[in-house]
Amino acid sequence: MSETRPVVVEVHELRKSFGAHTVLDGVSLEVLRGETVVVLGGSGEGKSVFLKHVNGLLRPDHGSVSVLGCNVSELPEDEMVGLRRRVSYIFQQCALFDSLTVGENVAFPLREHTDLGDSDVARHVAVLLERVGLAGTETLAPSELSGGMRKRVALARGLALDPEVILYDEPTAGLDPLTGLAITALIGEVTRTTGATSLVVTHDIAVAAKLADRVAFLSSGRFTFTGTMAGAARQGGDVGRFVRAGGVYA
Amino acid sequence: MSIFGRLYDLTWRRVRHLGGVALLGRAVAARLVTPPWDGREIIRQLEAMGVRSTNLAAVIALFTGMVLALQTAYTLAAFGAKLYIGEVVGLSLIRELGPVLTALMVGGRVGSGITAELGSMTVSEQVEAMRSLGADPLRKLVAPRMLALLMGLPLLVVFADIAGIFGGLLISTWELGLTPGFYFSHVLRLLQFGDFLSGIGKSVFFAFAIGLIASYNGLSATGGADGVGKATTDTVVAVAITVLVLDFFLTKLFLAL
Repeated sequence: MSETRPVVVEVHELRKSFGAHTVLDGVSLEVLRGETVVVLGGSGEGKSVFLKHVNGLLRPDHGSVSVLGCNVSELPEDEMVGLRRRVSYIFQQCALFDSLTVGENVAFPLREHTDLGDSDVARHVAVLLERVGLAGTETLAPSELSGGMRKRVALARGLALDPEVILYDEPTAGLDPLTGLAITALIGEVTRTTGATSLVVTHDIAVAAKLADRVAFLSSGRFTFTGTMAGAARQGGDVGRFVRAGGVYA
Repeated sequence: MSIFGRLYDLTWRRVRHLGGVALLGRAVAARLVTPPWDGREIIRQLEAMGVRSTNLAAVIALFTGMVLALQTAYTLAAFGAKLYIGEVVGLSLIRELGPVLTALMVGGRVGSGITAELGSMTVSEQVEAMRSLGADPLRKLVAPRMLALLMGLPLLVVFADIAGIFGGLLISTWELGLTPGFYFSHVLRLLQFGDFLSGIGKSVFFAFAIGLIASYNGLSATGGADGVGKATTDTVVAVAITVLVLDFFLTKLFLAL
């Protein structure tokens, strides 16, 4: 990893509470261009809350979040549009629009942010769906899809505008192991072919082992470890136990 | 928590709720008057909310007109009110009952539908997904529904007025032996264009209130299916109360104009 690459995501002393419950208590992290950083941690540790701060879906109580040179924590919502064209967010529940078909879901960002005509949009959608292994599914409704197919459609929609940063929230949650492996492989391929910077939130050690250039371990509102997966596996305490419990590292 | 603590907590929640509705109202109003407008979505919502509510509005108004005619004829028979059925039915429906009953019924049906739909989208992260894709949920989701309500409810009120007057006609001719010509001449005798405008004017305010309450409850739904169900119930109750309270103040306002 060349350390001369620019920092794309910079989170500094991020704090967030909901009522009396402090979820993030001074979290800091830097992600370099083209790097894949996996945020590990147990359920309810605030991994998704952290990720939602990166594209401004949540505002910090304290601290700053900078993405692609924009100060997300201070940018007004209506000025966030330009940044969100460059940063994709793949939701844990996929968040496909129920009232739209698969094709319309994938076309949504294209229609929202480009002047492409109907035929060009349809062509782009077909290419994107083929890329995620779902060619010819344009007319299906999201309710007709399996969990793995929904993840693929969400990924296709997320790739529509060629994002520079892709945020994945629990990409294999709720999937069987084989489908989980297929989605992980697809994310790896997308990262390789696009060169996008990726921030992946998961508690799945297999995903982290396959994708991570670095991992950050979130516990009690703080990153208690940042480094390689192998380094995390060698750690004592919660970090080492968590990583070794995944069965990938002895 | 002490009783004062609970009272403070309840009051504070109500104030926050009202503040949230007011802020949403301002944000939505700004989007209603500035392009772009999604014409296709507005027409889809108009069909879903307006066209599919016509039967409901017509049946309610028809029977309200019939009951009004019956009550007027029999209750006020001693005062010779039978001759004034046309005036009573016409004025009552067009000034008051048409807009209020249509708003209550359609508000319950459409308002709960909006809350359920937006609430489901909120708890399944679809609204956040829309934001993350750089789209404005207020413009994409709330504004088309609001515009459809603002256009649809006044039209439904006109439709209900006609159905209600027709209901009065049925009773006047079948039960009371009046001629249609006599009935209609009395319906139109005291009615002024201002009465019609006051009814339509009320329905515009009702439409905005219904859309606002329903959208706010939908967008602030939390906690899965249970939360969506609770938000939907809240909408039905809040719409009914708001329509009746608003009607009082609008009646005062329009009478003063």
